[in-house]
Amino acid sequence: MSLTSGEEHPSVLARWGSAAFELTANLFYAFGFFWNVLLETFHFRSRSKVGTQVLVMQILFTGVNALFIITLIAVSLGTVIIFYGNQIPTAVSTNLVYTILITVITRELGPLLTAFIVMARSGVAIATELSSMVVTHEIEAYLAIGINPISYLVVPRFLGVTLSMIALNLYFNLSGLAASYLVAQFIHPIPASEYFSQLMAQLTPNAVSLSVVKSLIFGIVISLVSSLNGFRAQQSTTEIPVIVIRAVGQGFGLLIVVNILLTLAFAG
Amino acid sequence: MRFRIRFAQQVVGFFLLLALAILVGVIILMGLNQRWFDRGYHFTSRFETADGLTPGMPIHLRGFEIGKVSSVDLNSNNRVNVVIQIYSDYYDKIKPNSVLELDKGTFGIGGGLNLLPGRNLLPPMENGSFIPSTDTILGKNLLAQGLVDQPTSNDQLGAILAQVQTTLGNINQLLGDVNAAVEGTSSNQLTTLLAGINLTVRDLNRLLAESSQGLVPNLTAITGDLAKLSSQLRDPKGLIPKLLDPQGSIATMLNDHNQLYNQVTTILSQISQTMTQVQGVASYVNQSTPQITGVLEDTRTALHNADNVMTGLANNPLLKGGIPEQKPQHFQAPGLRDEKF
Amino acid sequence: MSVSSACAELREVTFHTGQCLLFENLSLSLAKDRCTVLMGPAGCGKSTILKIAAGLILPQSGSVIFDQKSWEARNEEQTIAVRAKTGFVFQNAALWANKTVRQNIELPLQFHNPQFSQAQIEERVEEAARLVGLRNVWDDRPSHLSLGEQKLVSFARAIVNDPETLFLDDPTAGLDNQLKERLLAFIEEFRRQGKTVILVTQDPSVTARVADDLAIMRDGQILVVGPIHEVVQSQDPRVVEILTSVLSQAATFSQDILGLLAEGQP
Repeated sequence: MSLTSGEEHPSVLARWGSAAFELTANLFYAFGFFWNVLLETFHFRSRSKVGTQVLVMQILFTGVNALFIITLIAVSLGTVIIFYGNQIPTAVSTNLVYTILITVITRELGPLLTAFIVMARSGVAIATELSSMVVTHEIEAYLAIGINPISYLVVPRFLGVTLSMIALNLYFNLSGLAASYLVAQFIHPIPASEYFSQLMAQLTPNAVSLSVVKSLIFGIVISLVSSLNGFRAQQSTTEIPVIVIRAVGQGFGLLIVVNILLTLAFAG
Repeated sequence: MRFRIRFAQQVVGFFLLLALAILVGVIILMGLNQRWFDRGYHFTSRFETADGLTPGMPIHLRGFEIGKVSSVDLNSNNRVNVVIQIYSDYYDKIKPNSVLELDKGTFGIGGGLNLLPGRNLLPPMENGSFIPSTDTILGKNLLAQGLVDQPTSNDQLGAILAQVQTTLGNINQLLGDVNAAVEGTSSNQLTTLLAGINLTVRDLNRLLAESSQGLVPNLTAITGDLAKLSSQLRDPKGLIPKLLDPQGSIATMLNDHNQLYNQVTTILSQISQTMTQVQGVASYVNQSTPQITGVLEDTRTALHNADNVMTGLANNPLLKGGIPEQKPQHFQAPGLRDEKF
Repeated sequence: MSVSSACAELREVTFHTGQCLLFENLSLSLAKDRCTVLMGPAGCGKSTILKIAAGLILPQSGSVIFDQKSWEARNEEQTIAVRAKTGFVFQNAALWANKTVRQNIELPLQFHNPQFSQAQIEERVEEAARLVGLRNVWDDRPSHLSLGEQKLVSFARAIVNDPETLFLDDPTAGLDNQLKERLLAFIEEFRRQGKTVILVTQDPSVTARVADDLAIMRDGQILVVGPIHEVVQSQDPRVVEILTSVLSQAATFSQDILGLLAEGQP
C-alpha cells in the first residue's frame, strides 16, 4: 500500500522544498537526540546501573587501544617540526620553533589528527555496531527489558569517546613535544631545562584551553554523529555500510568546520 | 582472557588518571613559568605609536624577561598609553630615570620592550610610576644626559662581534710585527715619513672614540697600524720604492723562506672570513641601531686598509710595485626589504 | 470487552514504515490473564502488532493502552516498572551479540534488581535456563548457537524476571519437537498461574495447545478476535480461508486444529 497518491513528477522547487524540510527535520532530530543524550548523561551515575562496564570498555577501546597509533603520529609530527624548525636561522628568532610546536601540536593538528583517528576507529565502530543492533532488533530487546538505549548504549559511548578524546589529545601533546625534544638532541642538542622552559613560556592558557575544548567538542561530535547515524538503520544489513560511510563523511566534515570555528573563537 | 580485558578497569583508570596528571602538571608548570601567582608591580609609559606594541609582549633587561605589557590604549591626545607589569623579582631594578625602548626584533618576530634602567643607586620607583619611553622628550633627554644604563650591543650581534674581535686581535699582532720589522730595518728618512702619518691616525682614533664600544680599543690599535702601513705603502716616494730597492733592507726581510708572505696569506684568509661574518651580521642588523652600523663602518675601513697592505705585500716580491687605486666603498646596512627571498 | 479486563488495547492505531502502510485505524483488545494467539498469513503485520502492544514501537497515530495506562503517558520510572513485569521473545531471538549467553540472561535481573547478590542472580539464571531446557552454553556468544538455542536463551531472558505478561513472537520456530513440547508445557503452566500470554505464531499445533483467544489478521486488518471456540466457528469466508490455508500449510500438524474444529461444531 502506498501513502503517496499517483501525483505528477514534483517540480524542482517542490523537490528543493522537501529537501529543505527534510534537512530541517533532521537537524531538529539531531538536536533532540543531543539533548536527550545530555539529559541521560546527567543521570548516568544514578540511572544506568549496568552502564559503567560499557563505559570502561568504550574507553579501553577508544582510548587505550588507540594510544599506539596516536603516539606514532605525534612523534612523527614532532620530529618533522623540530627538523625544519632548526633550519630557521637563530638570528630570525630563537623561539620561533617553540611557537610553531605549540601552534601545530597543541592548538591545531594535535586535536584534529586525534579526532580523525578516533573517528576512523571508534566512530566507524559505533556506527557499525549500533546500526547492526537496530537491524537485529537488539535495540528493541533493550527496550523490552526497560533499558533506555540512549542511557545504556549512547551515553557510555558518548562519555567514553569524549573522555578518551581529551586524554588522547593530552598524550598526543606529551609525546609530540617530548619526541621533538629527543630528536633535537640529535640535530642540535638543547638542555632539557632550556627546551621545556622555552616551551612553557610559549604555552599560553589560551593554547591549552583551546586544545582541551577542541578535544572535548570533537569527542562530542564524533560520538553523536556516529551513534545518530547508527540509529538511522531500519531493517536491512545492506544499510550498514551506507550508514557507516555517511557517518564518516559527516563526521570528518563537521570536525573540520568545528575546528575552524573554535580556532577563530579563541583567536579573538 | 587478554590482560587489557581482564584488568580493563585498572587499565582505563590508569589511562585517565595519567592524562589528568599531565594536564594538571602542565597547568602548574605553565603557571609557575608564567608567574600567574606573581601580581608584580605596575608602571605606565607613553609611546608615539602602537606599532609593534601588543599586550602580553615581554619586557627585557639585558636579555632577561623582567615583565610584560599589560595593556596598550590610545589616549585623548592620540598618544599611546602603555601599562607594564614588572615581576616582583626584578622590581629593585626599576631605578629612577629608567627608560623604555621598543625592540621590534628581526622581521618583527620575538620583539618586546627593553628596559634601560637609570644609572644610579636610588631606591626603585614606586608602584604605578611613569617610565618614559625613547619616544618621549624626557626619555631622549635622559639618554642624552647619560643617566641611563645602556647595554653595549644587541645580544645577537654580540656573539658574532666577539669573533670579529678575536680575528682582529690576531691581525693586529701580525701587523705590529710587520711594522716593527719594517721600522727596524728602515733608515731615518723612513721614520720621518712615518711621523707625517700620525695626523691620520689621530683622526681615526677620534672618530672611533666617539662610539664608546667594547670593541673599540682593539679596533683603534688595528686601524692605527693599518693606516700607518697603508699610507706608507701608498706613498710613491715612501716605503714601497724603498722596499723595492735591491739595496734596501726589505730584501733581507723577504729572504726568509716566505715566512712573512705565508703569515700575510693567513691574514688574507682571516680577513676574508671576517668580511663574510660582518656581511652576515649586516644583513640582520636593524636600521634602528645606528651605533652598530657605525662600528661596522669602522671595521670595514680597517679591513679595507688591511686588504691594501695585503695587495701591496703580495705584489711586492713580484716587483710590480705599489697598491692599485681603488674607489672607496662605503658600508651600508641593507634594508630588510631589499633582501631577495 | 471492558478496559479493566484488557491487558493491552490498541485504539485506532495507524502504522507505516516509509511509504508502506501496514495498518490504518486498527483497534484490538487483548484480554488479561488469558493466552491470546495472533494468526495470519506471513507479512500481514502480526509481529508489528505485538511490538506495538508491548510499547516497543510507537504508532504514528492512535493510542495503545497497556495495563490500564497508555505507553506514552508513562514516565521513564513507570515504564521501567512495567517492563520489570513483562517479557518479550523476539522472532529472531534478538540476543545481544556482544554478550555471552549468561550475560544475556543476567542483564534484565541486574537491571531491575540491583540489590541481588551475584549468587542470587546465578540461581535465578540457572532456574530460568532449566525451565526452558537450555543446555550448558553459558560462556558462548549467541552467534555460536543454533537459531533454536538462541530462541531458548531469548525465552530464558524473557522469563528470568518472573513476569506477569509474556509477549512471544513465534517462540517455537526452529525448535525440535522435544524442546517445543517443553516450551508449550511452560506456557501452559504460566497461563495456569493466571498470567497473560500474547503469542504470534503460524503453527496450528501451538495455537491448539495454548490459545484461549484467537485473533485472525489479514492485510493489516483484524478479521476476527475472540475465544478460540467462537473464532473457529466464524462464517466469515476470509477467516475460513485463512484457517483452511493454515491447515493446508501445516498438514502434518493439523490433527490438533482438526480436533479443535471438530470440538467447535455443535
